[in-house]
Order: sequence, then structure tokens, then C-alpha cells
Amino acid sequence: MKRLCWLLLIFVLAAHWPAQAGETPSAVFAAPSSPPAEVLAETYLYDIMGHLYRWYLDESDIEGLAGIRQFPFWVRRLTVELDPGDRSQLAEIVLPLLNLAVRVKKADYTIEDWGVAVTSKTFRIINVARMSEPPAQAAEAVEVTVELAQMKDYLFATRERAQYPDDVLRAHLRAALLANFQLEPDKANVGGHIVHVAPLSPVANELWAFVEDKKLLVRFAADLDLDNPALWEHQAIAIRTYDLLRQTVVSLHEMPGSNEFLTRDQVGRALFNCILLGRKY
Amino acid sequence: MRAKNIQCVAVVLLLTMAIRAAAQFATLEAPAAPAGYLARLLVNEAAFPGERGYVSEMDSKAAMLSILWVLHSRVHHIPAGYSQKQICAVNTDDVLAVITAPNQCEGFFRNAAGQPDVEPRVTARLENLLRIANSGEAPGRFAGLLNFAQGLATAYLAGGIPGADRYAGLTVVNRLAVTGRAYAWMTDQDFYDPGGNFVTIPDSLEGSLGGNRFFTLRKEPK
Repeated sequence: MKRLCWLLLIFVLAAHWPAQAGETPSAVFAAPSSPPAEVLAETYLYDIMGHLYRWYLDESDIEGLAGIRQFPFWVRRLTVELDPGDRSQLAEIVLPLLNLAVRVKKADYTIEDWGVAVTSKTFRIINVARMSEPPAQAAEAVEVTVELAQMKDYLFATRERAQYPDDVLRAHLRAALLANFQLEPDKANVGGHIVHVAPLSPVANELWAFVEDKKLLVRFAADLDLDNPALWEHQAIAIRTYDLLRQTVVSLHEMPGSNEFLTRDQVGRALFNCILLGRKY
Repeated sequence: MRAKNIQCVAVVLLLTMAIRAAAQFATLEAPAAPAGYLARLLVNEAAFPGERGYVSEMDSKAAMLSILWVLHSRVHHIPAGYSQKQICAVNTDDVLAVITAPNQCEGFFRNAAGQPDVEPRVTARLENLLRIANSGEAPGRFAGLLNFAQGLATAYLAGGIPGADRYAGLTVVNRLAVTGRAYAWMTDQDFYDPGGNFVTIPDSLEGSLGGNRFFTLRKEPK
């Protein structure tokens, strides 16, 4: 029995000995290849356009397409160095006629520290960039062309379409708001806090809410899916907040180099989505 | 005999629990210490696993280093034709003063007593990151990133900037002459221009790291 105890002790010590630096296997490179099929699908590209239509496009963008019949997307797989064991895929969708580049990611990795699998069901937008000049098509990019008239009809017809958070997600959101902003639960129970929640996007893993009585804009965004309970267990890592009265400027040129402000244009889009298209709770 | 065996197993179990309780894979210095404050900024601005913008541990470490270079350049490498105040809203030779300059680094400021301070959300996120880093059986990526930030901050304040500035050699971006080095970063806001004379460093020049976009300056100020 004594020997068994010693063996047990050695096993326990070995299991808890901190890993040495440099033990991790070398980083892998995703092999350059054709874009993922689901990013090339016309229905997916329509969803991307629907998201841009709500959150980014201006009337000048739409007007600039006058006379255009075929609307091209340049789609390519992005080759980036990921952590060992990370099977995530990234792609870029360039809309050359709008000078826009959209980065999307389908996460597929495990956070070992946390014991959580991060797996996205679909490719989700992680960044939208407006380019200063017309882009050149990357050699590996595949062009997908859609009928502009048909896509415009779709955007117009679906401009009010909305999917809202279900009861579970709303409960998570409520708990997170109460925990993070010291909103008084009792007051919330009698409807003292007015919260407008924007519709969910099929291509962006983010949730926007506007707390009207606090003039507070809140964004939850993460690689972890919004419906993953692990995200809400540590929701402080996914929150970004904006005190709209204090943090809104007409132009970022007013405070060059600062990372603290939103433009009135950005705020307007967020309020449009939260208040007009969103639901009040 | 049985009692002895039970005793032995109990010792092993207690030892196991003690080792678990003692597992402190990541720590940051106190916020009142300059290196602790600087480390908090580096951690605050880089994406961790599970967060939006996370690509890899290496990418997030590169983002921290580039952010440190922004701060360093704002103190030590003001390009000809610019004043320090034009770039970072303050005249100083202290990197902490660059961080706490009015409206520069969101969530970081000087409190009423004049001490560097952070908003509660910065602390809340950090506490979550530390909790995750110290909850596993062995140090993982969270611990690696937190310790890297603290190590970088401590090393910088003790003896200058380590590593190379990946943006130092930039001379032209999109046919526009630039000063080289980065002087600003922003999170997730590529759709919008940071204003003034700042010029976006594109992906082709590794301008996007750890969920942030970095910016250099026009060679000729407007």
C-alpha cells in the first residue's frame, strides 16, 4: 500500500508540474487552396450584403451602382498562422465596386485553459474595411458574379426582416447588463430600464443593445457563439460599451489617433438597428 | 493498517488540492506599479482565445509589441513636421502619461487624485482572464499571453524596448509617403478612418494584429 501511495504521489506531482516553455508543437500553416464552398454560395453572399446594407452602406454606395448589371465578389481563403490544433478557417470577400473588404472566420479550436470548444456553425464577419482606392484582384481569388437587379430586389424586400434573441439569450443579456452596469434589478423588473436589442445577423456573431435610460450602447462579440453558455459565464471578455453622450463625435478627425470615439454616423446606424429594427425590452 | 492506508490516501488528496490551489500560472503586478499599469493596457488591447479578433497566441503577442511600439514612438520618435501634442495630445517623456492622456486610450485615465486608473470594465475583463488562466491544470495560452504582457511591460520600463519595430521601415502606403513606425491603433473599426494625418497600414504590410488596426503618419502633414 505504501508503494501504491508513492506511485500515486509521483503521478499527482507529474500531472501538476507546469509545462515548460517551448513545449508546444510548431505552428501550422493552412495549405493555400480554393475558397471554402460555403463562402462562395450565392445565398451566403446575399446574407453578407444584407448585413452590410444594414450596418455599413450609404445611399452613395447604392447610387454608385447605377447602370451596373453584374455585381462581382472576389472571394479567397486567407492563409494565416494559427495556434497548434486550431482548425479555424478564414476568408476574405472583396466587393470591388464598393471598395469594401470583408473578413470572415469559421472558428474551430479548443481553449484548453477553459475547457471550451469554440466552433462556429458558419463563417462570421470579423472585420469590414473600406478601402481608399479600388483594389486589385488577388491571384487566388475566385470571382462570383450575381445579378445586381436581383440582389437589390432581395435587399429591398428583406430590409425589415429580423430574427431576435430567444428567451435564453435574452436572459443571458439581462444578467450581463445587470452585472456589468450595476443596473438595479428591481428597477429593471418594473420596466425602469429600457433596452432595445438589434436583430441578430446570420453572418455576424454579435449582439447590439441600447440602454435608453443610460444612453449606453453595448456590443457583445466573440469567436464563441452567442448561444454558447461559456461565453456568458465570462461575459466580461465579450463586452464593449459606449457612453454615447460622451463618446460620439461627428468625425474622428476631431480626435485624431484616439481609440475612444464613435462617429455620429456609426451611432446612427447602431440606433437604427437597435431602435427601429430592434425590439424593446 | 486500514487507518494507515486511509491516512496515506488523505495526504495524497490534500497534496493534490494544495498544488491546485497554489497553481498561479499568471499574475500581473499591481495597477499602482508602472509595469502593472502598462501590462494592463497591453492585455486590454489584445484579443484572447474566444474573443472577437483572436487569430493566434503569436498574433496577439505581436499586437502587444506593436502597441508598445506605438507608445514608445509617441514619446521618442516624433517625426519631423509634427509636434508630440499633435500626435498624442500631450507633451511628455513618460509612457504612462501617453496612456493616460485625455481621450487617447479608452478606459485608461488619471483619477481625481492624479493617479493612473482604469475603468471597472477593464478590471472585470482582466479578472476573468486571470481566472481562466489560473483555473487549468497547467499554464495555457491565457497564462502565456498574460505573462508575456507583464514581462514585456517590466522589461520595457527597466531597460528600453525589446524586439524590432515591424513598421519602422515603412516609407510608402498606397502611394502615399509616410513617416514609418506606427502612431495609433484602433479596435475593429476598419470601416472608419482614424482622422488627422493617420494612414492605415494595410493587411499586406501586417497592419492588422490581435484584433487591432495600426496606423502610421503622412510624411507631409496636411
